[in-house]
Amino acid sequence: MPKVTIDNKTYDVAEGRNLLEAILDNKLELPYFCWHPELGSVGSCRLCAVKQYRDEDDKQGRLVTSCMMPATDGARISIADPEAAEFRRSVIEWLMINHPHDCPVCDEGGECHLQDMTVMTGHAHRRYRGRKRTFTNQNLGPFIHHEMNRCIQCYRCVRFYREYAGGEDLGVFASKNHVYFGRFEEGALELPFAGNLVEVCPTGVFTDKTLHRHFTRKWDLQSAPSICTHCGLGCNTLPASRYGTLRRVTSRYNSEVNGYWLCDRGRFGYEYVNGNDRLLAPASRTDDGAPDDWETSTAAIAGILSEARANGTLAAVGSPRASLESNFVLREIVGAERFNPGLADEERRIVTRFLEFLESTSVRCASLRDANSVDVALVLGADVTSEAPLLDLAMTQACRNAGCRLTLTSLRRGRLSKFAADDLHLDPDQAARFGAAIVATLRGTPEPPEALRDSLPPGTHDRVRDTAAALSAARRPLVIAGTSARHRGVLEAAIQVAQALVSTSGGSKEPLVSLALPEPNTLGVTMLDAGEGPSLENLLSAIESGKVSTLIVCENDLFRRSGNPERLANALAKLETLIVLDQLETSTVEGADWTLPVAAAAESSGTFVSSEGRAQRYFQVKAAAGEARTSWRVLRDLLVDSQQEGSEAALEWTATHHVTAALAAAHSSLRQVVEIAPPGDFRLLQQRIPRLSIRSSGRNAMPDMTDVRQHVQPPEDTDTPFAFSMEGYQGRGPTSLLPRYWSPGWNSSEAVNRFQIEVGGPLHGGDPGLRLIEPGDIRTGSDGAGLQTVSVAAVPTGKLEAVLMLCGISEVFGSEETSRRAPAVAESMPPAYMLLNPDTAVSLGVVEDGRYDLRFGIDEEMRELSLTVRIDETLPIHVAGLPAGYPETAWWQAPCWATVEITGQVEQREPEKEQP
Amino acid sequence: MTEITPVLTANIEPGREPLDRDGYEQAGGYAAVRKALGEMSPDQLLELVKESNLRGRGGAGFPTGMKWGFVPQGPDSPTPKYLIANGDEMEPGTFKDRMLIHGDPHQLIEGIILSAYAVRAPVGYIFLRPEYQRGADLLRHAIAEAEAAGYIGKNILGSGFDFELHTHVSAGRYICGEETALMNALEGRRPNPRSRPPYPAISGLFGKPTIVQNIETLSCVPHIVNNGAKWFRRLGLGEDAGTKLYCVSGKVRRPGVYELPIGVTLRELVFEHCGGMRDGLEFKAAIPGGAATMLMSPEELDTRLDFTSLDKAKNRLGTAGVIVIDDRTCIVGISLNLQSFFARESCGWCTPCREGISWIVDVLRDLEEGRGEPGDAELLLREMKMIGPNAFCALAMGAEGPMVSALEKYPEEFETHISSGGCPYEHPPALPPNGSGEQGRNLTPRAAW
Ligand SMILES: Cc1cc2nc3c(=O)[nH]c(=O)nc-3n(C[C@H](O)[C@H](O)[C@H](O)COP(=O)(O)O)c2cc1C
Ligand code: SF4
Ligand code: SF4
Ligand code: SF4
Ligand code: FES
Repeated sequence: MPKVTIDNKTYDVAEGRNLLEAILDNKLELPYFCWHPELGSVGSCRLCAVKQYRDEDDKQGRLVTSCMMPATDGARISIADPEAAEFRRSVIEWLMINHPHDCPVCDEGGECHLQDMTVMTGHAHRRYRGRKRTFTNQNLGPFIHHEMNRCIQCYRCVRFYREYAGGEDLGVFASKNHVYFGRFEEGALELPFAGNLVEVCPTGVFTDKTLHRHFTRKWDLQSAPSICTHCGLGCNTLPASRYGTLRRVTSRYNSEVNGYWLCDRGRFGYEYVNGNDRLLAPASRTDDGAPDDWETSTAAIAGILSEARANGTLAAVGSPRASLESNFVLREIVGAERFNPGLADEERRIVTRFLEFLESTSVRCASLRDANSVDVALVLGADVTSEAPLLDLAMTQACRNAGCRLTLTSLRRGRLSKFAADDLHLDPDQAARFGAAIVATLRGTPEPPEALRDSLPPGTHDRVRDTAAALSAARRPLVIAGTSARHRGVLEAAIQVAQALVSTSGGSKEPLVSLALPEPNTLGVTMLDAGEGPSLENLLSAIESGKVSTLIVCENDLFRRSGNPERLANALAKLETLIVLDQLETSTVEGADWTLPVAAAAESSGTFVSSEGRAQRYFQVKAAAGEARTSWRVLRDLLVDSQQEGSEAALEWTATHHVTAALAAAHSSLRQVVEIAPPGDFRLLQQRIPRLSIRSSGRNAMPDMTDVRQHVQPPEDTDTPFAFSMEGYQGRGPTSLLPRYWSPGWNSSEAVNRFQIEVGGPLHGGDPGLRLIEPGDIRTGSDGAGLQTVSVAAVPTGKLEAVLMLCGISEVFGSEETSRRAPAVAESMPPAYMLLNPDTAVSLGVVEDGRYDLRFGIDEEMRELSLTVRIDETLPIHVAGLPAGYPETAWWQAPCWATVEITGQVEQREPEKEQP
Repeated sequence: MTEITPVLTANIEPGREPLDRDGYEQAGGYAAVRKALGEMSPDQLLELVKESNLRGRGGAGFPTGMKWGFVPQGPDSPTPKYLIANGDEMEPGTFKDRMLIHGDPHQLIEGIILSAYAVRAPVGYIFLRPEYQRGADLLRHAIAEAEAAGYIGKNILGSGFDFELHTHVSAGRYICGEETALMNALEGRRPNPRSRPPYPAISGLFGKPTIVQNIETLSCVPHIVNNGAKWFRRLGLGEDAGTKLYCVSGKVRRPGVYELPIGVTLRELVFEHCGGMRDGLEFKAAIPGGAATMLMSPEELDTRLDFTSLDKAKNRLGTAGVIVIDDRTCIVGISLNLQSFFARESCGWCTPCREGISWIVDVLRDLEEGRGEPGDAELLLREMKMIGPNAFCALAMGAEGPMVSALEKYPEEFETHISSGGCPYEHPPALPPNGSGEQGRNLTPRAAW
């Protein structure tokens, strides 16, 4: 281990570090701007200068930029050297020449790395007498605010946007002291990770536009660690609130999961929590004039429940977006055989199969960190960018840095295509077929080219051969499948590829798999259910036949799960009682007899299991909207009051960790979930951890010119070790309980470097969360013989001109349920459409952007609606793409063949203006 | 007056089109390629150039042969290697490469072929500033002629050496002449310099070993091959080797390009070859090597203009673009002019250069326009000394040279600007007409060049 002498003290430094990293790793202070652990050293700002000495006798030394110098054994440097300190002060003075000094009106103020670095260098007096340079700012869309005058030209933004994330529409323009960071022309940023600019930029150039609309300073924000709910990856977040509204979400560092980043859906999707369509009070449809408060509703519902249970007509639907705790209590109310986990049936089959596989294999379920460094990757039937956004960013790193050879099979060209060695545009059936062909090749029995010719485009045989060869030669191959294609064959193929890689390498290879899951707890609720509950199909039949007449639905809109809205609506109408717990108005809520408002993730505490199989705890950030309560509490009361047998134990459940403990005891696959974070009664020096910073302006600051009494009492909190206060334990708790990153002198997000063992590495005390499923030691043995074979749906032969395969197109913005209710995300959503290949459009006689009345025929059923036609030349000609997760297209679930008829044109496209 | 038989400019005749391939061959051209590719191994050629003590003419004066020796060779070394001829020539007061490009393109091409052979580079680029469009046309024509004669292409003259040569006209920035920024520009990126290490000879253009050489440096190589290293070394008057193109501008009688043995004194150059100052003007200062070197005062007139002597005088030969400053020209004004150039040409990558030099400009403008304040000279000195050595690339160091030397050698000019509330000089200065057309080997290019 190299030893470096810094100001006459010797420190140990890890191999391969530069001097700046060596300094920061040892928690010494040195200012910097352009260096970033993920973006590397470029030496442009010159702020990190230190004195370096050749040896002990060298008293003179020379100034070096520490981020550009390797921390070699025996290096001698000084941070304190007056010349170095003077130079660093000068760097800030130079940067201040054109800086507008508008901290009071700058959204970055209070969490600004430039402010921190200015203080750290001691620069206080600017001698420049001239005029300042000014720039024109750009409107960069609904997420990011642009204020170029504040730029200090560290180039971090473009390095992140272009080099790291592979974006193209943000660049650096002009030169000298006029370099400009922006777009070629005004317009919304295209990269779905643009929100990270807010954190990457050390100044107030790029700030959060959603925060701007309800702005508050960082020091007044109330926050607690949370988990993103907008896909299954489980990125760690820090939502922050003030005066009862959620103000923003920033990334919470976790080296195993999201690192420093979030996607824009995760960062900007939070605003649904503040929405006008939040359910605020319990409500019943029975117009008996009784007030609908919690007490009367609970009592009334409990009565209904015990009666229904006695009759055997009770059932429940859980949810992949509700916590393990809520799902567990709900399942206790109705019993395992009457609890549906709330996934679409096909999706549930896929996820169950995936779990079964993970529990019986030596193949590891990839973490995002794993994905960053794979050398060969195969994506089967998934659009990674929209289904698991941060996995796209991880694959981008694999391709950029690890030279990853990527094979993509998705419906159309996407963001990752430019990195792909093979980019095939296939329908899910074909993707599964492609995977099967790879399995055959890996097992040494390649199919002859003719065998593939019927179902796959010409030339695919070579792609199969090349991909299989790359996979066999790989050191760490990764196979990714998606669920949004709603096609089991795709996952089956992915599993078999991974399994074949294990068995053909004699167990020497360590392949990884990943299944992109759309919701935060899909894996968790599936583990809880363990395949015991009824399918949605069976449940519907039971309702239709009157066997089930009372249904409780927790945080789920069934219309997103069923492909047949009429049938579902009829069935729900047939119920005697439908009880729905949710945050927002949904189609399911519309039909409910009882609506119970429940807390959003940022308003409650619980446990999610991410698509990696990582159990992670989230904690309440703010009081719930209106009268909303945490789902599991509502359900517990119902459980207790309906006097379910054995519900005595539930009397003791007064805090989330009680429920967590109960579910861990009841489900061996989930037994470790109690370990992932300390319980709600955890205290440090008998104190809670404050959710507010020590600099908080206080609860009463806003109305205190008129009244200093405290009107809004902070909510009672037995669930978390956090306090709704600035008072409490001021030291550092465990990493799972970090409510913000702050350290003296470090007010910006850069403060995280004070919390890492080595900058850019794991957190002190370990990254939070726990993987529940680790690969088994079954290196040999199982060669996949017991695996099901790939099931490829039959392709109709002799297909008609207008028979197209309907496939769901997953959108980063629009397909996910809750984020699409956030205004900024809604603004970024494309309106509902039908996507066609240009040739298909010609044969249907439709043109791009035209809006048409369409009639879809699936089997015997007809479905009419009007959609705008969009064109993508990479889409297979036999496919009609419909946006997934849109209410307009909720009548249909999995890929299937349909007749498509144009029955009329809604409005004429604007005739193109003649060019003069 | 030192006499010289022209070497690099032997074929150059102002007012005449450059020699075509036939003409060039008749004048002894391409003999060096025949000789080297026929009789010498690349390593022998490299040794010869090392022995000749040829030092780079682009500004830094780095020994050329030594640089070539850094290129990794052998079966496991990275391929291809690249050779780049640097014809960006945007240094103020410098117009010598222009002379060689427009006046004798075949000589340059021959030098490039030889150098590429020595470092085993199969691909070469000539990088030109956009104003040298006619030069690019001449070069493309000459390259085609050389290809037709088999001097460029596959298996040149049966030697087994393959070489292709391309001409690239840049979009034009001073920083594009800095070798690493040049490579970025050539790759289609922003011309920000790259950090070193790795040095271009190890990892340069497209990440491959790359040698960047000035036009004049390359033009020397055929003569070294033809006449030997010893001959070349003996051409110099001081410790350095070869002849040198000196570009003289300013209020001398005969400004222009002079090919002289390297190591003539400033006095000889200005007062003999250029005919002295124009009538009525006194010599006040000279910048020896383009904008990026230090001012020389009249006491330094007897300094030899070569790498070794100027290094000793804590100065640099730079590009040997000698800018002569007369007594009616304001040193503060000159400084403002030069620093405005550096501030404008800063690539914008690093803080000291991007922000610092424009601050320097601002203070200088204040001095010139009567807004100077006591302490400004000290401020300029302190800031410039902090900026120069601590910037990312040598551009800022270039800015430091003339500024610091002006402040140290002509402090009174700055003081009077402050005490008299502005510039005491006449604007613009009343200048006597240019001198008579006395003969000298003045190779001032034609307007068309
Ligand atoms: C700002 C700057 C501009 C430069 N411009 C040129 C140029 O126009 N032509 C040139 O040959 N070298 C230029 N150089 C020097 C080159 O970086 C490089 O040292 C040179 O091309 C090497 O060739 P040589 O060894 O033959 O001199 C410049 C250097 C700097 C720092
Ligand atoms: S906009 Fe921000 S990140 Fe980009 S260069 Fe300026 S200060 Fe740095
Ligand atoms: S990638 Fe998924 S979990 Fe991560 S921030 Fe985006 S939506 Fe949230
Ligand atoms: S010194 Fe100037 S030219 Fe060189 S990198 Fe810095 S800003 Fe660019
Ligand atoms: S942090 Fe080292 S130069 Fe910017």
